[in-house]
Amino acid sequence: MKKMAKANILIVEDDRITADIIKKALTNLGYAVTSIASTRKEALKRAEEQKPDLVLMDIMLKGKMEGIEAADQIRSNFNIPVIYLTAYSDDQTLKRARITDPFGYILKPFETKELHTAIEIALHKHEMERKLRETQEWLSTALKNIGDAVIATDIRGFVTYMNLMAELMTGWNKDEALGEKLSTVFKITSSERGEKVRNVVTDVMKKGAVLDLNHNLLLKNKTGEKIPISLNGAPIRGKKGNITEVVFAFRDLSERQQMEEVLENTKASFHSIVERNNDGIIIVDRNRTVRFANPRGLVFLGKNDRRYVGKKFQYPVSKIKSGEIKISRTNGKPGVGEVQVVETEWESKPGYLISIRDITDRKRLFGELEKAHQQQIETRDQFLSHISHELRTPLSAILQFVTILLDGLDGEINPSQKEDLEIILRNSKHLNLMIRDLLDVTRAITGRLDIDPQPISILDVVAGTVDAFKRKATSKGISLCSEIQKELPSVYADSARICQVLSNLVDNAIKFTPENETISIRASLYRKDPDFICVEVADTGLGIDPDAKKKIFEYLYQAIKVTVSSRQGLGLGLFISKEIIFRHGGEIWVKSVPGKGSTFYFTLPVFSIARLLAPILTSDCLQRGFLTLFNIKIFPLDKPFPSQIWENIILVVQEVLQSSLFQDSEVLLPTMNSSESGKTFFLVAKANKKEAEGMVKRIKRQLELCDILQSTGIEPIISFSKINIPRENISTQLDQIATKVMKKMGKEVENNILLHGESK
Amino acid sequence: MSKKKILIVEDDLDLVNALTKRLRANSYDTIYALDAASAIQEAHKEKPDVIVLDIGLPGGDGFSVKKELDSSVYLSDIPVIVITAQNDSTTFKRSWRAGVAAFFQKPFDDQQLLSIVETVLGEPSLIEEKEE
Repeated sequence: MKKMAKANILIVEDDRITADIIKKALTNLGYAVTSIASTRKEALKRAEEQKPDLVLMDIMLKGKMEGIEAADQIRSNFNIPVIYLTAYSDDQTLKRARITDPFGYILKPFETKELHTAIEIALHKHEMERKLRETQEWLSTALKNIGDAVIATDIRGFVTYMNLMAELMTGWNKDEALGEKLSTVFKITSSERGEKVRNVVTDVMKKGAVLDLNHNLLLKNKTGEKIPISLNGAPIRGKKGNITEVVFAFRDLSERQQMEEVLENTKASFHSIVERNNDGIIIVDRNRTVRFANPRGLVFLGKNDRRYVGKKFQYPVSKIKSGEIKISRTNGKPGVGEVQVVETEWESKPGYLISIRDITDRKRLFGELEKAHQQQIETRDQFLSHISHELRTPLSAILQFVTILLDGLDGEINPSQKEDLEIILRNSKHLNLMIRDLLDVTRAITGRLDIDPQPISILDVVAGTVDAFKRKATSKGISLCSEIQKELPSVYADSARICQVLSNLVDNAIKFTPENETISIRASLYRKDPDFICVEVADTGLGIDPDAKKKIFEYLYQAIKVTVSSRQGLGLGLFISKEIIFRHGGEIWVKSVPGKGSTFYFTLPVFSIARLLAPILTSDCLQRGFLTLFNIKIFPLDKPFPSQIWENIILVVQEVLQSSLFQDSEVLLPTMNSSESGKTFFLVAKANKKEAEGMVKRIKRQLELCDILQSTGIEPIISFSKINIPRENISTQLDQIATKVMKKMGKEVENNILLHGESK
Repeated sequence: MSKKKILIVEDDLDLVNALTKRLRANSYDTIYALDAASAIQEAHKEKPDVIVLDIGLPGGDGFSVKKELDSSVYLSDIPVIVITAQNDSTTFKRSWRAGVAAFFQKPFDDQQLLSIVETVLGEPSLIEEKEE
């Protein structure tokens, strides 16, 4: 009440003295009097201007009952509570005044206490009314705009209210619906039996609480359209707890029903797809607990009931994206299942969908196919190996006896016989090369063309080839010249194989170059990629037809185009050359102008220790921060061995070392240098001191088993040293590590490995 | 010093004849065997100084002969030189692992063969010197 003490009050009183008394009394009570009006007109004006909290209104103004009229207007226009002041307590006056619903009466003459009480009650009542009105407005707005349709009826079932949604759904206008019977406006039937649903109002009233009428109801609207709905009814109670109204809320289910139908159908078809699927489908959560398993999945996993759900899936899930597991097949026999795991959601939680497919038959079939294929390859290989063996043995006999004759072991021969024998010898050797080509082609096709790369000097290979063909070229008046770029690095290649390629190219060039011309062999760093060396063989011969250019490297190309009379051989040379170069990681191609000549090019990778070390430089190795370099030295004890046996010894040692390596932690570096006085092999391993000592023992034991080392009395001397490596990124540090390794390997190697200058 | 004895194990009689002629011309004594079984027999009987061994043989290949030789105390020290028509890295590697003294592919150069034989025969004296 205290806070209302400062209420502003307008006094409407035509008797000035009374007005002053009232004003004084009000001021004493702590109210503020905004003004005093003496006429109806003035009262309205003041009320509008000053917006007082309360008006004290004399009923009789200037002898007329104008006060009642003024009070009515003030209340309805400005919503200000009015208390009547009257000297008349007669029934007539009060009755009229009551119609205007005043907030109180004060009979003149009044007591101050009476005045105070009346004012406070009026203010309080007004406040309460205001709040109530607000709530009602809010409720009415809410009802109007709510998504559900709302209809209210009185207890006899006459419509008293309907909101917008109810209008839309029933098709009835609010104004025409009000006062109508509910059953007229709101026609509902049971969708199952088509029966009319009556007496909903009575039903709600009987129950006296919220009634859920949610079982498949259809609302027939004004246009006759039937809408599936859900319906709730609730009684509204009056102050005394008696039911005064019934409210119905209903909702259009047609969309939802359709959705539900679709969903139901989808669910059903998915269910049948999953249940009948030939693949096993398992869903597990993040903890590997099985949340779902279809029948086939249960069979595959050897579980025969649904209690599997909730148990742990027996395989680690997050690790396998796909893989194979053992399954039990539908016939009860063991088989192989292909597993695929994808992330999924199950009941709104992340999990994994595991599908298992029975691939037993497929695997067996593939296995058989693979086996058959392998057998086919093996048979062909064996066949060719057999043929070559069969061809070589008589060829060996021919060569042996020709040399026996040439060496005069069976008596003197005359110069003419000697010449004939040399022709036999040359042709036999040619035959031998053709047999080799035949075998190489088969190997190339089956992917078994072996190469044994070592750091080699391309200069040596070129020089060797030039030497070998010098006589043949000279006899045709052709000069062979070689241009090798200075300080060319070593290439990582199989010397014999590259010699084979180069010989083939030079041999071809000699065949197609007219007399008295020049064939150039050039080698330089490959301009497009300095990690490669490019070798060229250029002739000034016939050149190659542009159409043929692409085909000359193909298998048996030459054999088809036998019309070129000057060609000889099997025409396998370029195909084998291509395969050899590819196997080295290089490329081979030709540029040619018909009538002017051709240039064949091939590239070979530059030797790099870094590349060889890369496989063992794994993260654990970098973490250790060191590698171990082993030096395995062999040298003749007394006098140097003949070159043939010395080469054999080196090959044996290399083979033994190579075969005893652990591929992922040890690398045998290529043999770099060999002299008659000794040879050092280098081996790099991920090993600490203790491991290194073990390795030395292991290598020694292996080498001791070699007959040739035993018989020659060679004892390898093995030492090792630690190489610290930076613990950083591999790719950037690789060259740095390689350099460190090379430094350790010593000067002798450095000279040989880095540069093959003209000094060689 | 008596002539060194070389056992030729080779199933092709023409090649045996050629090798015999060549080696005898270089003052070696030769004997021969045409199959694996007689190779072992001859080795036991004749105690050759060197064995020239073909890999493709009837009745067990050259590797089985080498293995048999190794299992005998008397024969395990005889150096073996392989001569084979098989041209694949497997045969090559198997030969080294079997511990042969040298490896030749057919057709071979007789001068190279002679120099190897010479070296292999020269070695025992080296070891003796070392042991003294």
